[in-house]
Amino acid sequence: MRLRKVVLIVAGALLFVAATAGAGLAWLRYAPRRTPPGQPALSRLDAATLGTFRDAFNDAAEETRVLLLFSPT
Amino acid sequence: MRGASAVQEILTARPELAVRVFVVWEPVIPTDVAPPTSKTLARFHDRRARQYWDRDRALSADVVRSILAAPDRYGLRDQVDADTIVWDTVAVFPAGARWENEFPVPSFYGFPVVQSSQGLAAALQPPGTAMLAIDGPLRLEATSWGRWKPSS
Repeated sequence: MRLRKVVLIVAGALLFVAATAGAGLAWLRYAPRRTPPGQPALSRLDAATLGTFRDAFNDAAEETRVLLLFSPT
Repeated sequence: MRGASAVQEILTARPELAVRVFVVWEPVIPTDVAPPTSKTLARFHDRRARQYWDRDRALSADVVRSILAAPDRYGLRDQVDADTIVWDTVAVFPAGARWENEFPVPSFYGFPVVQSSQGLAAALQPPGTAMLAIDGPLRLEATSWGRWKPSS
């Protein structure tokens, strides 16, 4: 009887952890990714679009430019 | 993330500044499995900002390539290698600077960003303008580029 209780508690805990992890992953996958008002939408940057990024940098050459690189978490 | 908030505070305090801000988010640590959420993107709410998701760290790789090709040009001999990831880093480029074949040399850069905010604020001052309301000593010197290496 006591063993069954322990098994149920452990199974419940594992289920809780799995559900929490799943919810977290789902949130990361499907959470909205909208930029603040007044900004263009979030752009993808990769090897193919690096030239476009460079053009955007040069198009603003009459201004000071600040470049920031961050990890999102 | 405190670095992002620090930069936004500087921008908020300087609405008249003619500046374009490029914010590049890239995966570095194991929890960076997806692009930044709206909440993260909202840390930079300034209209002068443009935000990017660089899943493959293409920009970091290009910066490292440029530095390794001519380390003395950037004053970074022996500080960057092929495994370097440029992150939590801020760089300032004056008006007129252009990015041609090689990454341009910044007039200021710092890492980590939260510790470089005073230097950033000073770098954004027009020449000959006094710095107002600054706490502590100015940090105008360049620090090392952000770097992170996976353990082997």
